[in-house]
Amino acid sequence: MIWDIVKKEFLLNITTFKYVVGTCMCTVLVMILLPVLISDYQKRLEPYHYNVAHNEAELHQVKCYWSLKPIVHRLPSLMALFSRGLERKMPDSVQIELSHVPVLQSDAKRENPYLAVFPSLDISKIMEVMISLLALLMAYDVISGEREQETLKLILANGIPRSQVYLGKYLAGMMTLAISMLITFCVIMIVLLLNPKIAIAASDWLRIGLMFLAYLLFISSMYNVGMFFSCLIRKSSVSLMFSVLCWVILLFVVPVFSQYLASFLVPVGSREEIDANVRALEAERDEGQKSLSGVLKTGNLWGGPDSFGGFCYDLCEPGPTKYLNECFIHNEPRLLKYANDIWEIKSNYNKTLSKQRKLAESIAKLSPACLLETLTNTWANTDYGSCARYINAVKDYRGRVVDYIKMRTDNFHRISYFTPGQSDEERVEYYSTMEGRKKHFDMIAPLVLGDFPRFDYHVRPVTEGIKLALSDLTVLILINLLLLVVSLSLFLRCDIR
Amino acid sequence: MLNAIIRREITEHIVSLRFILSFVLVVILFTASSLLFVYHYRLSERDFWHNANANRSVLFDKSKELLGLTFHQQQLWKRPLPLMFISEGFDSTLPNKYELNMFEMEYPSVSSRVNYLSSYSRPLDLVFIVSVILSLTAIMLTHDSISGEREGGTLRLMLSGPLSRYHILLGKYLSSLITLAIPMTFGLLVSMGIVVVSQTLSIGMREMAVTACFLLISVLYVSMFVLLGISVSSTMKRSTNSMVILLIVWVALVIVVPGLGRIVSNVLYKIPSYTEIAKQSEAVSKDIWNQAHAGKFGENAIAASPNRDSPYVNPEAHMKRHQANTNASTHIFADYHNQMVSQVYRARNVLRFSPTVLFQRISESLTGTGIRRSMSLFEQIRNYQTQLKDFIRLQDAEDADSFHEIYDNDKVTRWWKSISIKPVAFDSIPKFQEQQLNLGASLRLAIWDIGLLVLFNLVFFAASLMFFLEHDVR
Repeated sequence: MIWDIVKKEFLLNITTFKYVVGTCMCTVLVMILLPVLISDYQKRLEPYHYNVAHNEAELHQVKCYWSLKPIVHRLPSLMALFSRGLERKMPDSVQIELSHVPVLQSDAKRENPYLAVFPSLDISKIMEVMISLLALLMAYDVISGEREQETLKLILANGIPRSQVYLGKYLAGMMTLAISMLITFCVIMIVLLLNPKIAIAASDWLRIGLMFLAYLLFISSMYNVGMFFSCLIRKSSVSLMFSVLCWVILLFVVPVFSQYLASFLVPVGSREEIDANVRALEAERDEGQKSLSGVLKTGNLWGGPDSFGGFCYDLCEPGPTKYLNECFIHNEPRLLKYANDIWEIKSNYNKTLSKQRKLAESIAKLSPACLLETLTNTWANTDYGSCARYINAVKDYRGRVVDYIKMRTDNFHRISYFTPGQSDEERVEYYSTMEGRKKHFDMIAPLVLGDFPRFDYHVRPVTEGIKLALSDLTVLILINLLLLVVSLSLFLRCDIR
Repeated sequence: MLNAIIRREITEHIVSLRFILSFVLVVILFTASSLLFVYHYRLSERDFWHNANANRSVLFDKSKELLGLTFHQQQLWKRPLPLMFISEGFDSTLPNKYELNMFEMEYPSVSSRVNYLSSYSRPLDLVFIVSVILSLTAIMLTHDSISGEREGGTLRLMLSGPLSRYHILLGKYLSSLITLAIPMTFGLLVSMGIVVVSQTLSIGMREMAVTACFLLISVLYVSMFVLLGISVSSTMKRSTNSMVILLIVWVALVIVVPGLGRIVSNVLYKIPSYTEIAKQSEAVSKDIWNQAHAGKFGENAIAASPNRDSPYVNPEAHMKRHQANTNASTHIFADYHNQMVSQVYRARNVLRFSPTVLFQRISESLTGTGIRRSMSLFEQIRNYQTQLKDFIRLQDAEDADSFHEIYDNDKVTRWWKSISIKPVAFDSIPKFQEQQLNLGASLRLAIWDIGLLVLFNLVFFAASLMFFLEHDVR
């Protein structure tokens, strides 16, 4: 019997004016936005592939360990099309240096800073807004509408248990909404599949599937909110008022408000203080290194722009070689120490920021919309955890590079650290042919870097993402169940007259 | 008779559940927003003074030597404004730190307490509350203003009376507007009260005028939604259908269109990325280097040694080369900055068909916040740079020991005593002080936007009139 109700309701729903308009608008908006986002994604993909290939080629030209400063490039994430999250806050490329430990930080130069005057709206937000509004519009008069038209009496007179009527209506509504969600997802999939330059991996399909599930749960919770008011309130128009107010609060007020409240409860220091501390440390570091910069400035070293992002020292004359060797033995460990100190300051600052963020997220768990965002971000690997994971991987990589250089140069004691490791006689001979220095330089064999560590980053696997999102998923399901039970009990006891 | 209708409608609205609900919501939000504003304002005001004083004391140290002053990198900060509680205008996420010396200016940056790891950058100011919550309330109040009466059968009765349809419409419109103005005025008073009691804002003529103007503009904005509600309500037979249409229109105008800004700006006006600009400027300086090699600036334009009289150096050519470099990079930066600004301006101009965008723009002009303030601040800082340049030139000209060759190379100018190293009187150094636009000027800037908002109102008024006059009451 329940299936008869589902069928009837489903057919009624799907032909309604609001359903058609809402679904069309959602799909059209997504179709307008998607090509823009895809072209943006491709624009970032091209330089990535170029840079990675270029990087590897340059690695084979490095002539001394000092100029081993590889740049790590990040593969733009396709899943960020679905849920942008913090993807844009992750650095696109990081240079691995002795003097700098990678850390997550804001970079104003990455996009036009004045674009901050526009609130950001991406596909996931549009789908969220449209589909939740549609869910409420479908749900607000499910019970109250029938009561007003006095058809509820007729339905209940047939001896069908009320719970079945209710569940039938719920399932029918969910089915209609799932269809419009499916249409939107299909449109996205078709556009992505038709694009020859975009490859979707198997795990990405799984991620998309999971996101679809999250959307369904979200829709169901909003539908339940609508049905709750519909059972509670006799008049449809009043139930619509309540639903819409609730919707505005959940979707627009709670996210903004939670952020403000969190910044009040967990205050963070001013960025400027942190920068001042960092600048002070840097000044202190540079103070102790003047001996080397003196040599550099008076031009005893010849440095040409090196392919590998830094400068590559020429063969040195035997005299300065000894002096430089001492400088580097003294300076490089200091450099490493200061790099760690600076990292400490910055990462402590980030810790408070992420604490604030976490609090904001917890407050926002009141709203299914925010839960949805957390879930999709986690599954699209654009959440804070993914950012931190990526930066940690880069940091570990820097550690490996430093260890490698240390090992190869005997803790910066070998001259091969800063100059190609020829013997003293060869150097003297080299300097006798002044004119051909540059030509000779090209003939010096590059370092053999067969065992140089390569950066290899794998995004967080789906299974781990599921585990991480489990608590949020449970909360969302609980919200659903709670609303369902409450409104069902309201319906069971409601007076149908 | 019109008064009677208005009075009746207002009492009806005020006792309605939807009005009470939104009244409570609006007042709570206004209060919370102002309380949080006071907290954040105090912090950022403290930061501002801390930074400004730090800059001043360094400037004082540098005044001991003109050369040091010339190359001193000043840090100028954007000051938080007390009127931001009305319209924050995304000011906290816009750049607030400007670094410059007399030769060049750094890329403006954000250095505040804003959490860049948070995903929500919308400010919780009064503009947000009015543009989202009150516009929705307006729709909820009016969606059944005509269709509801027809459903209830009271429309016929009303029309059978001596009143013209025009008067009924006017009565309904005015009563809804007055009803909506009540929570707005009340909330604004509460907010003002909080801000004044916390001693964040001292109420002067300007503040009063701005607040009054804001109230007027809000009424104008909300009135547009009231008229929209009435027009849709008189075309639809059923109130629920009219609500559905209104909600969809509302989402499009209030949420979707303002949110399209980034996308529209990226589509309409593509600008190169910072790395591309950096590459371009590198290429230009390389070009100048090559020109210098070729002897464009004279003999020995590149060489530098501590001895000015050495035959291998040529101070004049050296200066010319550096000046060419500075000019080129300043030009590139200024050009890029203009591009960034026009990117944002264009998108904002295009999105003006949404009343929410208009409302945002007008309130930003009123309070002197937002992108326009950023631009005016940037211009002022650029003028300040020129002022500083003139000052240093004048001071340098007074020193007979200096060679008066002022250009951007710290080390070489010191070697060659190209710039005076005499102390400067600290008081005579020009200091930066931001000038705010006065209210009249900002209103003049907003006049087109206000006109457009009025036009929207007129169009919807005409529409509602037309629909209602032709309305079939059966």
